[in-house]
Amino acid sequence: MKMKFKAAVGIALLSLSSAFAFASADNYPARNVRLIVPFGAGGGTDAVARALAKYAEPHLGQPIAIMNRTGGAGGVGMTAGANSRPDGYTITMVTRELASLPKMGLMQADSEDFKMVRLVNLDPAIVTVRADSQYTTMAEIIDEAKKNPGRIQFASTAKPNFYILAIEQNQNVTFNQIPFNGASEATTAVMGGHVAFTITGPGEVKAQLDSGQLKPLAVLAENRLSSMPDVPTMKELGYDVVSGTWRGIAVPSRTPDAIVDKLEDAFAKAVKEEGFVSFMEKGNFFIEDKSSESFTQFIAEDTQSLNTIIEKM
Amino acid sequence: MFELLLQGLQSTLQPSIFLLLLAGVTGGIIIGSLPGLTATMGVAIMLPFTFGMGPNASLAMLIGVYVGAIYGGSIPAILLRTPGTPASAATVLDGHQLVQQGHAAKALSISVVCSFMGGLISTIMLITLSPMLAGFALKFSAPEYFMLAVFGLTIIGSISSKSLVKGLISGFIGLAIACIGLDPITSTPRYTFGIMELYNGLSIIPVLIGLFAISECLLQSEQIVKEASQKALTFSHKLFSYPEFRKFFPSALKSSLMGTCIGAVPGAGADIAAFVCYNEARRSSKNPENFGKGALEGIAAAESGNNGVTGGALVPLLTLGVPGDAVAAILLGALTIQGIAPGPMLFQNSPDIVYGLFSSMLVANILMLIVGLAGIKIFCRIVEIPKALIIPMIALLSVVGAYSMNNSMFDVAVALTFGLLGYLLTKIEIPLSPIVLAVILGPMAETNLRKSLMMYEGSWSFLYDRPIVLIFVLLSALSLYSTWRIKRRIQSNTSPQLAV
Amino acid sequence: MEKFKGPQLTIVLYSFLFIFALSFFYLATTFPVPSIGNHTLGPGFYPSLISAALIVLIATQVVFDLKQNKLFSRKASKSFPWRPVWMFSILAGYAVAMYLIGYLAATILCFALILFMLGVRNWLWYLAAPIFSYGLNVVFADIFLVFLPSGLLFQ
Repeated sequence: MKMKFKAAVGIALLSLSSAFAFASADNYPARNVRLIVPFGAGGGTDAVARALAKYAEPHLGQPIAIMNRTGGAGGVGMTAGANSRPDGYTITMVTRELASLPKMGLMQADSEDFKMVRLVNLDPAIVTVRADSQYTTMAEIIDEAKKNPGRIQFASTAKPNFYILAIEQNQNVTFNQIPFNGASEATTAVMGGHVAFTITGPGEVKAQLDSGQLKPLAVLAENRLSSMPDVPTMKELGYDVVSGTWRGIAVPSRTPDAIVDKLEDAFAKAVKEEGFVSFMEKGNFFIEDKSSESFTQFIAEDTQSLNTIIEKM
Repeated sequence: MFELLLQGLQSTLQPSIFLLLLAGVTGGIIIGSLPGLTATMGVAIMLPFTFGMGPNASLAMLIGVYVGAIYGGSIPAILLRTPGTPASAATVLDGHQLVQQGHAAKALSISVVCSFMGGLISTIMLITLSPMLAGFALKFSAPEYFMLAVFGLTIIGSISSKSLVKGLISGFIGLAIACIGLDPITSTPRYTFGIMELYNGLSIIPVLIGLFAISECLLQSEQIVKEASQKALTFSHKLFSYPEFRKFFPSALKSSLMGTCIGAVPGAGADIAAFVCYNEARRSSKNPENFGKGALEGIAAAESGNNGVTGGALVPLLTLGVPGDAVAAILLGALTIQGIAPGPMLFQNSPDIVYGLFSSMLVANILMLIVGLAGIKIFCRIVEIPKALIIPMIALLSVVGAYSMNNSMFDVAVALTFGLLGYLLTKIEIPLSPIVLAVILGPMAETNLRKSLMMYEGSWSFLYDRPIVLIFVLLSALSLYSTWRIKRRIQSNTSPQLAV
Repeated sequence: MEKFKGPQLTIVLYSFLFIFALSFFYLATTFPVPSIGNHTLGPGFYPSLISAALIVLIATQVVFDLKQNKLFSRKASKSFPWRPVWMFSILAGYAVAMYLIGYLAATILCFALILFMLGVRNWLWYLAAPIFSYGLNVVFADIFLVFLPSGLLFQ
């Protein structure tokens, strides 16, 4: 008993002293880095974060520990990340909600409070219907919606749903938006024939598309997806709607540039790792590797386009 | 099919995979038994470790954690009145009562045997009836979810309460609390006062920890007698007997089947299944008034129900490619990382994986039974620790558990607030479990009622033109009737003064 | 306050619940009504229904208690429950301490405080504090990789 006590006190003192280790850019990273993930364990953001952390660790030279900080559709975690110490030991997985929540007044921090490190993932959205649905093209849905505003039922994976809002505002139509708790419930409702169509990430409907239970109508991307070359883009069909979700790494805005560079270097290398690339391919996540600079610009543009949608809401 | 299963079992029983499975089950039981660490979290944490393994080994490990964790949550629920995971909230009702009557080992043995039954039956149903169950799951839409929640809610007012009104007060407090957060349909903030942590509503785990564990510590610290507190307590080490087994077997069987069906429906997990099965067992019981006072069938129903979900949750994953609950979502991730697309093609493309998964589930449940039974003696030691030592342990563990769920001091504050609330409500004899039940089922009821109205464009006809909805309407009516019957019985058995 | 009266607590709590339900109801009426054509109930419908029911239920219970003279005549003169108050204060202090000085030190300290409060004077028992704290830390941080606070002061 006494030995254990001594050992415990010894270890307690040891861990306290190591916590005092001075943080500077030269010896960064001197201890493990924590990565705040603003969504819960088990979701897409969590999966990408855990895989990314695993492949970035060797390049950073220190372990990266995942810390799930959920709440407020990602707002809680990202605000906590923005307000953490700018020493590079707390980094944040930022998602598209960073561009939408602040404008809606649902998040205190915004993209100005972050320095972007690297964008790693961009998933364009895809429109799907049940295999035996009465709708066989996107045009049929839009035309029907123009005839009967607010009648066609849309399974929304989140509220507000910026995919459908973009289509509604672009084409000046309305749908009966029925909110579901995430993509799996929305796709089940479409498969069960309870709701006409849904818009999700391609990975979230891959299995159902392969098995033929769901039918893709269009992708909301600039170009056709390499994995689904037969599915037209909305642009090709004459609807100028491009939308999708993205995920990247960011640090508080006052973080020294030297530390940001070290982090960016590690994550840029991780994104190119063979294991990470195959993880993303298999999980139907799409790699979009953007440097700190172009990531910052990308967010500014996306925020702009989302703000326009929010103002019209 | 049988041959494939045999092959699957052969590969599962290879020493390397078997050891992983054993480690997974044991680790899962520990994860589940710690408040704040849930089955979902346990499986998510283990996922990156499986990146380098083969598909069978990877799934075996994750399945082991899943099965173990759903069971593990019941150990502290029974012994310490602290459910380790929300799935075990219904187990507290009768489990802890039995412990207070001195039957710790009996309660634990029923819990592990019924968990095993639930897991085993749901696995068998998963292997044999998957396509049928998937068809059932697809029939579920907003109206069905709404009535399922209503059926679960009809238990309010009758569980662990002498007074119907007090039970209802408790239930409605829970329903009110569940309104906090962004409105699920319109995203209007409700009762959030601009606090971002409240936008998603209160997390169920800190509420649970506060109401059950922290309030219990406050009560115990008041009732504790100095000298007695430092003595070791003793409990009967007797397991359940054969006549007792015959008594709870039917409700365990029924709950296993029900748990599997509820698990097969995406969006309803082990916590909901446990309460719905508990309610059904009470409704159909000959002695419903014993529920909440240490009824063996009560533990049996809750435990078979929540472990029954484990097999059911895999049904939509394997047949539709949609996860049935959060854990199945991570398994889906594990499958895709291995380059395997779940869905109906899986049975044709990689039957070895499917049957490897099935046999892992079978073996995981057997291992859970063995580890659980072997552990009873050790677990019982926990309640035999003198009160003065166990109180600080539970109290501090509760705070750490509330924190670790989401690394959030806000959750700690929530747990403490609900601890105080639970203590005060107990003082005026308002039961606490209806609050928990309402917090779990309330949002499901509200969201799906409003969704149904949207889908039916404002018409209420969904209440009678859908067959599954009608069944639940009938069951809810029967459940209310049985509550009334219990009240009548208590009234005629006791003096009128107590029969409020 | 040497003597503690049971009925006082009952009255205070019922009043508190009543005010809670009333303000809940009031706030529910301030939520926006949905636009026409949405075929649905607004965000305020369900909460106002719940809180109205709660108000009625609490009133019923109070009437029951009054009828049976329970509200004012419950056996009084129990001594005030100081220990739960202490317990709660220590736990609240524990949360703050964990935030400031880190998990390990805070746990050892508060474990010992609770033991002392519960009347334990045998020093051997206090050894449980570091063992429990360190053991829990190993389980959470080392095995399951869950962060416990390291303390604001030592970051």
